[in-house]
Amino acid sequence: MKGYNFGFLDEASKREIRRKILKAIAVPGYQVPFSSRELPIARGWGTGGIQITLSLIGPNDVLKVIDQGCDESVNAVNIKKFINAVTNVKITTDTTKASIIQTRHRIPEEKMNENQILVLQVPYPEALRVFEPSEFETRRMHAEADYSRMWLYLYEDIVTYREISIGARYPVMVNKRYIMDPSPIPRWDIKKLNMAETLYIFGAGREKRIYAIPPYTSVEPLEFEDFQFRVENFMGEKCILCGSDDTFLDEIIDDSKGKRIYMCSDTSYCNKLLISKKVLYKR
Amino acid sequence: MHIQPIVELKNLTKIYGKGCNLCVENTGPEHETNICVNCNSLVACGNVSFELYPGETLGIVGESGSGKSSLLKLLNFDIEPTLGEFYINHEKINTFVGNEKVNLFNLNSFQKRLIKNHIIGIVYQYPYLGLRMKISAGGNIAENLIMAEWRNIEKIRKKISELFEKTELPIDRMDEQPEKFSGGMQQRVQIAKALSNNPIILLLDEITNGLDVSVQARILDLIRNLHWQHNLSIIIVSHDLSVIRVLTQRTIVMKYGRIVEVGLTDQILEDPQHPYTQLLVNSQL
Ligand SMILES: Nc1ncnc2c1ncn2[C@@H]1O[C@H](COP(=O)(O)OP(=O)(O)OP(=O)(O)O)[C@@H](O)[C@H]1O
Ligand SMILES: [Mg+2]
Ligand SMILES: [Zn+2]
Repeated sequence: MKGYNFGFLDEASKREIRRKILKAIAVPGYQVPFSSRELPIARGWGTGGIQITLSLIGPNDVLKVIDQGCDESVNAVNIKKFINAVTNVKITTDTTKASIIQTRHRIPEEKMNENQILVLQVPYPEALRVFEPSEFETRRMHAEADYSRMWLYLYEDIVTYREISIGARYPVMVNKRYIMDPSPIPRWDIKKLNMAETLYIFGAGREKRIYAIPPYTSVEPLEFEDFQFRVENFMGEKCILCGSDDTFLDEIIDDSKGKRIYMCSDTSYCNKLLISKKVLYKR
Repeated sequence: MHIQPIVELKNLTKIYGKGCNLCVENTGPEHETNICVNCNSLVACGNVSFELYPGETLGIVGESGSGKSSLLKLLNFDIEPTLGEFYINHEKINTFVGNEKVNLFNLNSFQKRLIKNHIIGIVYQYPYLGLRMKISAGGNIAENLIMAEWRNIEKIRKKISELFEKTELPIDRMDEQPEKFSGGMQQRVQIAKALSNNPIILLLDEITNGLDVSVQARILDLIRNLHWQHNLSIIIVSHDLSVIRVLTQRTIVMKYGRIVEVGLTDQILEDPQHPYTQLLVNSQL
């Protein structure tokens, strides 16, 4: 794309965002305010994540973008096209080949390593907002680690539903200090945040917040001794395409027969398995 | 024999408004106002000093607006004083603030929260100040237990049940919101909440207000029993002298933010010294 700086944002803006990222890494789980830039994409469509990616990316990076686990969704494709147009970097769908992965609502199934960064798009960065509308008050709670009302919220949830009913956006305690919203990833992905090799950076464009989980940081889902955190249970169902029973599955109602079928939510991983099986089969 | 007070309060002053050097001088019973003519600020409490002794029930009486609720809120760190010193002498406090005697008003908010959670229990004059009306009654109590690091639902609910039983609340209604409860039940939930973390000091503000006489009597019995069972030191605010007569050993009389008389409750009620106290006692005979 002509007439734009590499990565669309000017160097001063990138440096500013990188400074905020460094602060976020220095205080794991703490939400750092940043001045969100205008992009040729509407806010709320991943602009927080895109700005992080654009300020980190270099010509030799390899980018993967997924939306709810899928590389080919309209959203993911648009973001890839835009970033490619302003950087010309290589694009991949292979989790193991990417140096930066931008994602919405999922963490890839394949384990990521120390040389990779996962950038998560965040719609609502404040975990405490579900019970406290005042920003002043939520900031005070974070500053003083005064989290009893978050626990009270879970207590009430248990009293009402006999379990913790939160699906996505399950609150976590980062580095034994800050309660953090992990973005709307399923509970399935929460365990991947704990003591991970990979740097996770979270960006909320509309709400103008950046936060991070540096590698090897403890991330614990909030739980009571007798009501523990549980991941989704697929009751032994398998992916209809690759046959996996150890991945996060999307439930789809088959229109023609009205039957429930299941598919890997991480489509590139599913493809990879499928291809390797076909190769085996051909042999 | 000298008994060490459990609470010492020295020269507590609370001014609402910007305040000036003359606020305290310009207000009080002799001026018949709590508003400073110089700067228009309101002196809710001026130079209030007293002691509370271990196991004692201390009454505070005084007309509407004399600063009684403000005083309790100051002791519970709900509002910041303009001036003053506050000490609690109890070994439980040393684990939070060290062995030095420190003015509790100067602690940081984390330390203040520890003291609120572990040492003080409060029942507010209006239930909406002490309870979250949209959270279950049990949840209101659970919040205090959670603050004290309880993380087991079964244990939390068992403790809530015990507190419900103790305060004569129906256990099968612990998951209902207090906004659905009667005034007397709401006060009981507040009392249960105040007792949840085994406080050593209990602050009670007009707990029988607006309740009919039989409910009042049962709440008073409850407080008396709790006082004995838990060896509590209690400060109870009431404008109702019969409550003061039944529950307290000593009484403080307040007017326009000042203490105008302190003494044994019996003496104050039989032989009031200050003209305002005489008026108060005679009007309620
Ligand atoms: N937030 C506030 N801002 C300004 N003035 C206040 C505030 N809270 C209380 N006051 C004033 O402080 C004075 C003392 O109020 P307080 O509630 O302590 O009285 P009280 O003795 O408890 O009265 P009552 O018997 O009616 O409950 C009153 O004049 C009141 O109007
Ligand atoms: Mg009052
Ligand atoms: Zn003044």
